[in-house]
Amino acid sequence: MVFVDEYPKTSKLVRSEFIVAFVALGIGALFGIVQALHRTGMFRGFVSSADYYTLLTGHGVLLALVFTTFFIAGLFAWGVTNSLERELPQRIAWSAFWLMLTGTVLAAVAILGGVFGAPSVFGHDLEADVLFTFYAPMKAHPAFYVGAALIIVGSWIAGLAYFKALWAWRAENPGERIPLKTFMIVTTMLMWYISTIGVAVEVVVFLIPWSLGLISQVDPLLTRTLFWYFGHPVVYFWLMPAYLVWYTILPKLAGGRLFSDPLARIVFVLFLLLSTPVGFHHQYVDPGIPEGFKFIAMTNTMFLLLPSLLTAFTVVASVEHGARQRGGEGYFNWLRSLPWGEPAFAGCMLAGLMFAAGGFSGMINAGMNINYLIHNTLWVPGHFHLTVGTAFALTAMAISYWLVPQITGKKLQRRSVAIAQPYVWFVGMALMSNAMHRAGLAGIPRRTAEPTYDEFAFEGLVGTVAEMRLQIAIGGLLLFLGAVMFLAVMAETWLAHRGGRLSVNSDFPAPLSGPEHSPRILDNYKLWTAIALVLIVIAYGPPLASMLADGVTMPGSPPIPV
Amino acid sequence: MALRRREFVQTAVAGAALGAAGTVTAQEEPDYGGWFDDVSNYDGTVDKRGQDTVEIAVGAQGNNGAFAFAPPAVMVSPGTEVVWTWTGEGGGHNVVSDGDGPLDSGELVSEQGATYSYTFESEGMFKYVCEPHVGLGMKGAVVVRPGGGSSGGGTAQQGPPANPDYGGWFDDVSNYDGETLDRTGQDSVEIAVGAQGNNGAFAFDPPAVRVSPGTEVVFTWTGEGGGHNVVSDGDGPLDSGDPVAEAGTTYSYTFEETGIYKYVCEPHLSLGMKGAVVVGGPPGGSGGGGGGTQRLPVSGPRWLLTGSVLFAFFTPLLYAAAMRHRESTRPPQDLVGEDGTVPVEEATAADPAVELGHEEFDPTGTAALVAFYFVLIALLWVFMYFVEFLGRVSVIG
Amino acid sequence: MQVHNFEKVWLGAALLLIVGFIATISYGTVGAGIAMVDDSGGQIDPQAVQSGETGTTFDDPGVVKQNDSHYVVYVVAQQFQFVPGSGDNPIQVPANTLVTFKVTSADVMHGFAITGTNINTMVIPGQVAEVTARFDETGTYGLVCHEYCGAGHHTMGGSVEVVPQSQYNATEVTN
Repeated sequence: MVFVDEYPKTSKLVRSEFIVAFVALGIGALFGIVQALHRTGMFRGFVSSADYYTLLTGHGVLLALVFTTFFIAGLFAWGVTNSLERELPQRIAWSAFWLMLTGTVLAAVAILGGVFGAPSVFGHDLEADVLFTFYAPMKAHPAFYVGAALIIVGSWIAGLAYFKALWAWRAENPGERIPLKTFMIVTTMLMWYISTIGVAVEVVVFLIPWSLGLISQVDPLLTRTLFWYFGHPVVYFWLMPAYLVWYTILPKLAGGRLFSDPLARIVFVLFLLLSTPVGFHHQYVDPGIPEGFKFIAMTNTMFLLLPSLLTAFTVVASVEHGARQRGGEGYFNWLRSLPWGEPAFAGCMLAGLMFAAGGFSGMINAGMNINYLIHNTLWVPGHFHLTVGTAFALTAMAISYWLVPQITGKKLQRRSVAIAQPYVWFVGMALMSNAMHRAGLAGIPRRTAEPTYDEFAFEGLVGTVAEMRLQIAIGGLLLFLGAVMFLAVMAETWLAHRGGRLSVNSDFPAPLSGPEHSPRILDNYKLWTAIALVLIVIAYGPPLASMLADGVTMPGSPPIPV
Repeated sequence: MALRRREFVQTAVAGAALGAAGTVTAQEEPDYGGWFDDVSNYDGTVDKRGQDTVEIAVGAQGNNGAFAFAPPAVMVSPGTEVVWTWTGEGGGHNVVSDGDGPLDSGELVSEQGATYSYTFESEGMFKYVCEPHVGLGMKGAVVVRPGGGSSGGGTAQQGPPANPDYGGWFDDVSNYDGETLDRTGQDSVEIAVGAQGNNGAFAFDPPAVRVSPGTEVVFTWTGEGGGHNVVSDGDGPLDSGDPVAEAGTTYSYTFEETGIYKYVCEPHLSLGMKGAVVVGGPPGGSGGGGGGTQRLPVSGPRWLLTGSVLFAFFTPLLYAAAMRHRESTRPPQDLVGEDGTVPVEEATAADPAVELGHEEFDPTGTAALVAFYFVLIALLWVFMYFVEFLGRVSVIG
Repeated sequence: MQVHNFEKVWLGAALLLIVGFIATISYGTVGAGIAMVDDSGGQIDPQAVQSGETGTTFDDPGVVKQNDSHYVVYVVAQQFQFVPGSGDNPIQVPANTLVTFKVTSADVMHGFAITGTNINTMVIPGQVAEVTARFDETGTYGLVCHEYCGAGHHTMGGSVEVVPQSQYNATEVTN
């Protein structure tokens, strides 16, 4: 039976989450292409260089926060319902949706106020040109911070719906192993609860009262540290849903079976343990933080490579299993037996391939002293466009080709466009990202409207600056085209008539090595959460204590409008 | 366009009424054929017609040093004696005609006060250079043409016209509304530094002001928007030094010569923190009270506005196209059930060609791929760390 | 729990890679002597930096000679320039001499990176970033603010001129 007929209520919820996510994707992609053309100097007629930062803020918030969070909320709602075989508690799930949507609208209005001359609203200029990281003492309109807080709180409530479904399922199935999808989702949400505490404290305790004028100053290093306490785990909040897709859906799309259920569980437990006590690796070159704390964060970060390296093996082995079952032979020839013309499969595979490259640049980012080489250069956006911008985003788009027909009951339209789309994205990202990495090595900074200076000129180490700019611009155009192709396929599918035979199928073959081989202790959430908290106290306790000891808001800065 | 045209005519009329204002009018400006493209201090041709003797400085500031003639371009009446006077700066200079021509001061001279003169009898354009510094842009031209400046001679400098042409100077200045504030006849005029504007406290207020010659202009810091300074655009008299932020700081300058004095705040120039002081001229001088330029106020970037309008226009078309396409996806009538809906079913799961169980499957291909990946990243790491990173100047303390 | 032999080997290889990375980085610290920016620069009141009332050299930033082989450069980063560093006020330092940059902010967060080198630090209001290096090669290096600091961020650059020790202009030095 098709999902939409079996669980009509949750289907409606998933559809609503996806619509918000796709609208955010469209607007974010539009801002992206404007930026790519502006910063490379190809075309600067859309906005002034001063307004570039408004679009940059919109691009970051809409794609990295709104698109991801809403898509993940939809995917998780589907995953829990599908694997526990029950509808989600509707009241909780829908209140989460509306709360997140309210937050999104507030933040979006605050950001877009910047391109409309920042009119005064409730006594504050309506603008939020503070970028995705909103570092104090640069101040946005209070609505921006309130909106961000509502999105986070909404995601907490969404998580509650998954927990309630799990508790109800456990009461009915005592002693059974938690199904893999639900296990992964609940583990991800636990990690999310632990890590979002940082940004919640930053925004609610410090930035909202400060932006309203209730407190006169905040300590910029403390608020920045609280941001990065959340800022690295959030990338795993994007990545773990992609892993969920690669572990549980991709093997079946390849015609095979998951290689190992126990290893999948171990990987997710490792993420729960290690995702948070690593945030200082974003602050390797911050003054005011002793080197020892940076070293602890570095070792934690390096061990966080382990779950991803294990995933590479398990997922590739599962896909290889599919290829062998389809008759594939040889060391590398089996790759040709895979269904590369299937958009959901091809998208996930290309996303995984790009993630392997992004993994390497991430290892450089993680390398403490070698971070000097690339910190805040274009290398960094080059890296995260491979991770969140491809490993997550392309996986999300690809799996939509598979999932949206099931939650709408409508056949996928424009299949030929859907088949080409992942390849367009892949080529676009390959051009843009390689040039960004090389530009970073030449010292060209990120987050700037015009990376040229009166006092000196940059010289490329590998390739010329002009050639890198060209590649970034062409890559950006292809990525924008890829986003438009995806949205066109989705829009037509959504508008099509319901009914008939779909081109997708939701059977999940059992893993080669099933949950019966996993130690039961892996399902002991209390234990893992407790260990995760201990690791966080070790990594964050002393530095936070010393930042607070000199006065909670000292040394302090008053709000500075942008 | 009508407004712009009227403004232009007005300027021209005002210029004619004033007689010999600073530079020649746009119609009279000679075509030098790119001669002055690399001359930094060229800003139009100075009209010196009606004078018996005209002086040109040799070794004036310009072209990144004391490598300029000042003024570089002059227009004189036939029979005028032009005297080149050496400033003594910028090393040895000479004055030699470009190509065939009458000018030749001979050997290089660096002594201050040295002069060379020539009397132009016939009409025409006479280009000349300083031979050692021509590469830097040390070039000039004398245009001999009858007419002009008979009425007031050189003394009738009454200043810029009613609607000065700032040449796009204020295009990115948010608090400039097209008006030049009139403060003529006052001894002292105040301009706020760090006033609201340009997306923050990054403006001068008023941005454009007209004063009488001899007026002291006092710049007063508001203390907002960080450190500011006041520096002339290009060569000019204003320079308040390093940026300061403190409220109440002042910097003043007394303008004696008529003209347009453009200035900027260096740290916030890119945000549009620019201003201009117009010295001399109306009111009373010319009849130019009416019709200033009123630009259509467009809030927000124009592409957003245009995009929204286009989107609104195309939405019905898009909707119609979508509906048309939707019809083509209607399932055949015989599938429609009694309640008017069509049942949905999934594709059938494809059976594998070979069934491989846990015991029969060794992921050899995966092992080969991850082994390759391992070697690749290990090599890249060594290259990045030991060549790219340790090969540079590093932080050692 | 059964784990395939290949996967056990890969687990070992992955751990080897991780340990190798940590070992390389430790070598960089101990062997090559690379130090991280830390809390050695101390704290400062950013509002006093803005008004020039810190009572430190940041009130009149520039190069201070410590001794013949060590110079300290005090730099204030503010919207949108480095003082000294930006425009026609480049930072001048001698070659083959220890140079310590002490950088702080008068307003929002900035970055301080010298192109072509590994000198790269955040500039956070309230904190003094302190990095020491030795330039072997003379020449002009670019200076970049690499953290978004407001609408004119893209104009915030500068330059560092490394001159031979013998020609180092002593008038630049205040003591």
